Amino acid sequence: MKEIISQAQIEDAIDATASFVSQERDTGIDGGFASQQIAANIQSKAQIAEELLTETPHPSQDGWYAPLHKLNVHRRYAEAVTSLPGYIVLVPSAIIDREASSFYPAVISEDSLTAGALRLHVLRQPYRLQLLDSAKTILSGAGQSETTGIGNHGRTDNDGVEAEHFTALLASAADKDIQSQWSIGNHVNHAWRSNSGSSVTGKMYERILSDEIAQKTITVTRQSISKGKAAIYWHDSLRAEDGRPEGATTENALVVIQAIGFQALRDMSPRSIDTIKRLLA
Amino acid sequence: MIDASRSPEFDPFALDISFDINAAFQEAAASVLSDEAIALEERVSRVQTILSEAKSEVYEAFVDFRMLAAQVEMFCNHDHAFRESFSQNSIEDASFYRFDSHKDHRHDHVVESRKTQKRKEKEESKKKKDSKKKKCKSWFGFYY
Repeated sequence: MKEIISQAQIEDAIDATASFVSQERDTGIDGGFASQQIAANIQSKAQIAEELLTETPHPSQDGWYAPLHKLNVHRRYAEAVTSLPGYIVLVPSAIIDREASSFYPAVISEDSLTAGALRLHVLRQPYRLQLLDSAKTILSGAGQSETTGIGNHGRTDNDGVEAEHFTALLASAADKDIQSQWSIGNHVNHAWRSNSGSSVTGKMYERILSDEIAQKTITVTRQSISKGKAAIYWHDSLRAEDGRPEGATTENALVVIQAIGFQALRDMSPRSIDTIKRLLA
Repeated sequence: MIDASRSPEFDPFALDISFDINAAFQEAAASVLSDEAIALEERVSRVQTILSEAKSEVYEAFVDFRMLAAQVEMFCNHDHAFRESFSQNSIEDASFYRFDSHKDHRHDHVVESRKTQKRKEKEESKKKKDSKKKKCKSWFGFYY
């Protein structure tokens, strides 16, 4: 049988792969790299972030701050968009769940797609003056999944596997439409996101774990804050062990999220894992 | 004398939507964790343990799976033959495909699909001319 792919092509492919790894530093879904990337980014902006987060204390509630609200949005918004991505903040639950009144923890995404807007991954659990490891891991994983350099989120040059949506790929194993897309070469893995405000990782949980971990991705704009429809809050308890404001830096958080999906999918239906392997191979 | 900084109009914490800020403060001050938080803690802790145990069967399977996905990721970036090989096998009408998440990701898969369709037609034509060529599975398991 004639060899359609030549040795030279194989060598070219290996060279291209090596070049990609070298240039992009990570391997697309490298959770370890993602946490390092966020840690480095927030460290470089630590001083301005600290100022922003603590500039406006509540007049009577100790330890509470409103870094971004309708009274300072015109002065501070641009700075917040630049300096706060990667940090964990609080949002009023009412911007997601109208009937509730509590603070939800959220991580501001580094996603470059939403230039000029604050993209927030919100964990829909009331914040009670401590961030459990699990909450930080989930938020870190969501933040890390869209960190610049992790799989070129939203890249426009092709529709291949978006590495930050590896979690979505796990969830899509149970989706017939996705499977049919892949079989004809459309490598989309998030078409099941019927709601544009849904979270990639949150949707995975919904698909695989029956909504055990409620998560949502929202976009907060200058206009929504100036109209009093949204605000960013912060509390002194959101500090890391070194005393600096907490960031989405939990090591291997992205890997943990992926593994949760993998394990759940495998437990639920071993055939689902085989399905993804067929899609990939 | 009224302290303007304390009035709702000047309260930086105030919102113009239905949100009880005092209830939120009370909720935050509650010392008892919710069941949801405890359940999440257990689940994440369990997976972290699995991941830390390199000999775990789940870990090994997961790492293997990630490597597979990473390999495809690289090929989607660098080896267009991978995508085109899929396209060659496609017989569906591209206009059928629409995705709701386009706006989120700023790349239109419908447009991509149309481009792919045009490319497919061109390639189909070429394929007919060169019918002697056989398909075989390559080193990477893709068809060329």
